[in-house]
Amino acid sequence: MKPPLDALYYITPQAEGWAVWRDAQRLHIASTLPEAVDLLPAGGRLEFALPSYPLILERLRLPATERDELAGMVQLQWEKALPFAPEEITGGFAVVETVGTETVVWSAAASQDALQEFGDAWSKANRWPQRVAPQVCHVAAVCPAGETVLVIYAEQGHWVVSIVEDRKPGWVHVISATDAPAFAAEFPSLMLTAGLDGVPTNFQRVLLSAEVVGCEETLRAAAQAPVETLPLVTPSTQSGIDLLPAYWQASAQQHRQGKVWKKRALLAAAVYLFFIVAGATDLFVLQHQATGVEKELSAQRPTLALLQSRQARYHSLGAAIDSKRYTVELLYLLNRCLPGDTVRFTEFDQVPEQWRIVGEAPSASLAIEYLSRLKRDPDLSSNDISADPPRLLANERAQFQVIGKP
Amino acid sequence: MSRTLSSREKTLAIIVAAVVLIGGTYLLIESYAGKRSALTSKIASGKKQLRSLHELVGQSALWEQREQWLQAKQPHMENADTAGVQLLDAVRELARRHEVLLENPTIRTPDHRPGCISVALEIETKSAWSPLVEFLQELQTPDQFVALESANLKVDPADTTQVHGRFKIARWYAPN
Repeated sequence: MKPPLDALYYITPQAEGWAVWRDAQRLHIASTLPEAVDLLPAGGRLEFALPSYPLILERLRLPATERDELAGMVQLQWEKALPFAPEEITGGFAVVETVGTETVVWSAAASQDALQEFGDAWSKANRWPQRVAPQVCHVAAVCPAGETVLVIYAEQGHWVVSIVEDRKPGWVHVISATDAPAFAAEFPSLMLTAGLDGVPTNFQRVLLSAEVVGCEETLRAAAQAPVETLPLVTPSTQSGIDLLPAYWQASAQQHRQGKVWKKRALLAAAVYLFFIVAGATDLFVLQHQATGVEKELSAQRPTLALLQSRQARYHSLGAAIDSKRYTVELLYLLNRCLPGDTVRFTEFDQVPEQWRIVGEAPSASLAIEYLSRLKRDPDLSSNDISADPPRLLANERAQFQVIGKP
Repeated sequence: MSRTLSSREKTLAIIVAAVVLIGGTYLLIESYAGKRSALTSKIASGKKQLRSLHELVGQSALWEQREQWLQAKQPHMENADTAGVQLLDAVRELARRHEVLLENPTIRTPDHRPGCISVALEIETKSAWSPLVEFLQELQTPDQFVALESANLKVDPADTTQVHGRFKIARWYAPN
């Protein structure tokens, strides 16, 4: 079954490995991110959840309430506190609570270097997510609304302690412990730190993921709240933080443009190919026609040769058997065109190639008129008739000479 | 081993590909246009020949008739030595009947041509226009196979009613 083009796919970190989701349905579990990316179906939108360990997570109390002001302050805080250039930091924040003119925010930031290991997997697959959120935001989204909840879960082999306030992460810490005794040793100081940071430590409940085993007693004693199992963490679109790095966005844009250009190139190639095929077909049809005509001509050639030989023989005897070519007929036609009795011939020559007449007229204009009559005569139209300008004689008559070539 | 091309390398690659594509397309179009033009001309010429051929074939009955007429009517030479004399006698008799004065007759040796054997004689005449025209009219009729291979007429300057003629008259016999 083909995935719909508008399907939303997620890759989220698990205790070990990565999960591929389609909306709230888990499709695959892969041990590495490249394997998970390879398991993504073609098409659809992608979102990626980052584990907490590469992130710099802080809880900040800021003297502002406007989001733009808060954003500027958070940015300033990162630039002051983090050992990276501003353009190398990707971050976001979520408002936890507002008290009077102060706002408590929870920020998550990461350097480009820290995200490189994830970027490589996406780059290799030449696919890029449209949104990147910390996994802890998805975890917070499955907690009960309106409660302060302590959540301990595992991702990518690390244990994460998170205090969630009304489904928003308010304080998150990745601890070094990965077993119950180490956790029991580290947990009291962790809670002390949280308390000093101003994080509420009176929890309505404690949620533990299945991978965090053997810590229930420690937690029940320290938190004095019911300990429950963390429900299945499904990806949520409601996380307000987007940690999509600028260069991932640029790569995604480039990738999309590349696809558009690829489509255009394919279309152009198809059009090009269409014209080549049309041209080849046209030539083929013409060649076929030419062959057909040639065949018909070849079939008729013996008949043609016979007819042409008969014609040639008949025409070669034309001077003897075609009355239109007799000398007396030519003399008659030349005589017929004389404009009057005063114009007359004085000489006539005829050989097969041409005939020539010399004559005299009372004036040059009559001589010229005679020439024009000869040229207009339909029975002489097969002759190429030419003449020199009439020459005036001593007796004031005009002598003309006309040459005709049959 | 492959590596990603730099921006300048990509630009250069695009330019080279465009040049190759445009050049190739130009060559293709030129070749196509040339072949198309040649084929179109060939077809047009062939169709023209076919039309002429069909017209000719439509007239084949006429040419068949003419061929049969030629075979039936064209004289066959029985004696090459006497053919010239026979022609001269006939011309002389005709000239006498039309009061055309015949001078300096010369008989030529028979000339074997692809379509006929020509037995010719050259004569000079002197007469008025009218008898000469009648003489020529009677001399050449289709079933006599007589051709005037050359003719020269000059009006006598001293007496414009008289015409001096010089003719090469030939009878065309069927080839052997």
